[in-house]
Amino acid sequence: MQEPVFSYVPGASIIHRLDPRTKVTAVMLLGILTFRIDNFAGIVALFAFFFVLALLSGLPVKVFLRAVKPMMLFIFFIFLTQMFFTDGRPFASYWILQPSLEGLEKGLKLAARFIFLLLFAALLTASTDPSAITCGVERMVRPLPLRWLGISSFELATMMNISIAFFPLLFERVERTKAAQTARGMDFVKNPLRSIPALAIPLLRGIIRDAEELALAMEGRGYQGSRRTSIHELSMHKNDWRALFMLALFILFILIL
Amino acid sequence: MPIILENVSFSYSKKTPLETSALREINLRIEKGEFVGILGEKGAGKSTLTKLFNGIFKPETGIVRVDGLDPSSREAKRKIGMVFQQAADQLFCKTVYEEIAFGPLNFGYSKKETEQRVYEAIEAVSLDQTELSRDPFSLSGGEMQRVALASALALRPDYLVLDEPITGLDPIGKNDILKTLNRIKEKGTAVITVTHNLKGFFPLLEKIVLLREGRIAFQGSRESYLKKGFEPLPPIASMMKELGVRGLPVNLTVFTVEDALEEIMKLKSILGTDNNENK
Amino acid sequence: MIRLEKVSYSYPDGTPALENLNLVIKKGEFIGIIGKNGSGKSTLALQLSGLLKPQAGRVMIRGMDTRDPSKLPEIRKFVGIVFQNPETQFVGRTVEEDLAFGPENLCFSPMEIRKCVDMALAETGLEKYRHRSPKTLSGGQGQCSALAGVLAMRPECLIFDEVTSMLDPESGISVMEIIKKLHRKGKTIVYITHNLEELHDADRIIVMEKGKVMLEGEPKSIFSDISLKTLGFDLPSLIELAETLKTHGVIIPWEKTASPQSFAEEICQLFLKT
Repeated sequence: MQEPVFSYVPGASIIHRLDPRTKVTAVMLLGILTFRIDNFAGIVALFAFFFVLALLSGLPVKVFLRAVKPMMLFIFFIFLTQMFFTDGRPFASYWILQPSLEGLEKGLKLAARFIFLLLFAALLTASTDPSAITCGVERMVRPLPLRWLGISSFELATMMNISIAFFPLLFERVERTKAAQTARGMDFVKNPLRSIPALAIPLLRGIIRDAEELALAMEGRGYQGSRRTSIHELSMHKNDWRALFMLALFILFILIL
Repeated sequence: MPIILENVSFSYSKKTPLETSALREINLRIEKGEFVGILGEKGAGKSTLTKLFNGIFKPETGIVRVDGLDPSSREAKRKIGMVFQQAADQLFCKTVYEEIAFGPLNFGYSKKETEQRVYEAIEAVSLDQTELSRDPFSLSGGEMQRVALASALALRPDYLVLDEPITGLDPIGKNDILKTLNRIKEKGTAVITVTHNLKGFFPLLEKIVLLREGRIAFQGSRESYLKKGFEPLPPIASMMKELGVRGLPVNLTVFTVEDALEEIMKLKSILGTDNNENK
Repeated sequence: MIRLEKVSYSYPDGTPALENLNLVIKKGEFIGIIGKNGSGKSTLALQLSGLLKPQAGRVMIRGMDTRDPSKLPEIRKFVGIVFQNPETQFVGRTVEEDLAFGPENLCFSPMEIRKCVDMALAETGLEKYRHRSPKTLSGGQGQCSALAGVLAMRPECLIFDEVTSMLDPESGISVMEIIKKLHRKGKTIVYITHNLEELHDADRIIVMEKGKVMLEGEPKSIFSDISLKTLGFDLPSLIELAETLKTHGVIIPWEKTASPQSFAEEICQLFLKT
């Protein structure tokens, strides 16, 4: 089985040890920053910054390649459309297509932005336990008036965790139902239209039943949807404040650049 | 014509680091009308074996033939009825009737023919006609299992393959299914079942296939399985084996309470002690 | 410790599940509950754990009424329940996180949570699976993990609702071993099953039928009760054999019917003694 994209790679590097809130904040800020950068110097600086972080994290290169690879085609397509459909000085001419210099520049920048987003996201998810991320997000949104939406930040976090944990079950269920239907002469290749509802209906009913059982088990273990603590110790250390301070400096530097 | 497996091997997750060999060099022959039990510990490859019978899994090496046909062919699928573990995931229609009719309709039988087959199938599993309009999901575990059985039987299979059909049922549900399976077998359909429940199934089994770490450790009649002292055994047979181990002259093929009583009384008269009366 | 007083409960569709039930569970007891599907066993389990409230009568758990919402956290801490299907009891991505779920709900500090988790892992022998996803565990290990998830809350009373019915015999035995160990350590156990063999060592067995207690007593007396067979239960074969042998003058003591080995041993002793 291949490891899914954006999965967690356990480690003990300085990046791994940062508080998830620090990392989530950093990635959000850097994400915004990538779309504010408008010159190549900034891009180079951002890449250098990423490179240092990646080195510090000690994560294998394939983690990042795996994150970018599936999107490569899409990014290349964006690059091409930018290059060909931006007005400006043409540097070549193919039939009616005239790639412009401005387009080339715009295309490269946009492609770089997307790649940065993927890289930083991969850095976050690979160096942080997913439940620590949910826990961090929970803490960050706790002051928000979510109650107006009818949920609490605790419920939100639990929901995120459970969906991560519950997902693989669905596939197994579909496989089992599919096997049963094939055995009774259902042809999934010939009847694609019939097969979708034939799988979806038992799946839905199964999920509902599973969810009822799960809810009971959760309640039995004291879940009430109200305040709860977490096994993950979230405490901002000196390193977190240092990291945030350095990040602020870096952002300032880029913006001035 | 039988189900034949020749030199069959099968692995999971081929060509990945997680590749695990599930079955090795399986040679097996199952005749029409037999009642076969596939036994073995968890992970021995029992469920994998059943999935080779109807082409869900394709053998890596060797061949599988159902009455001379490729098991993934439509004709072979019609000959093999499968009932998997967890009946709840095998039911997917709005009513019991639709559920049982699903197979025959898929194989293109007319509405009339299908109806006839549905009634025949519910009779075979002793479901009441009034149940036909019910929602399969509202049934009890035992009833669901019977509907799953009926759905397989509606294709009039020559072989009925089951994976742990009585696991999770209450005693009444269990005995019900056992009786039903025996009736089905009496009517000439081969019943092939994976099971851990030896107490319930042992009296029905004619042939035993014992798997151990993906290989066949034994295949043959129930009598020779008992005589040769293979395990697992139902409790009474296990006790008889223990008596044999302790040097008592016992008949190892005994596995029912009645026969065991007879054997023990025989022992008592041979050995001639009457400790109980001394006490 | 747990006391049911004239408890009645009907399913939403109106069928009665429990009728006027009285029951007392004493501290440190191992109680087996048997009954057909629909006899009210599972409803009883939910009542005992405070997950369902009685429609009439009351359930008192260590003096706390389950209908009092303010007592619920205290009740949850006191009684834990494990269900049949391990898959639908997992909430965590790893075993460790799953085990932390209960203590997290009780608002323990991260340090305390770790302690609870470590203790529960040790009790169930799951230390080496700490970082595995619970979904990748085998049925037996999965059920151990579900049990550990409840143990992490350090309950004094544990309720098991058909926890071995979906497992193979070997896994079932290993789960049973853990439960017996917990009982020896002083936990109160309520064990619901269809497999009477598992109840050989129980302190008391309750037979449920149509929402009522039909029979109640020690395993020895329950298993020799003829009405058990008419209720549709299969006696464990060895006990049935011992019972029939008794009518022929061969007496096998109750303790010896626990396993084929001890049974055979006893017969050898009876017949070979000179």
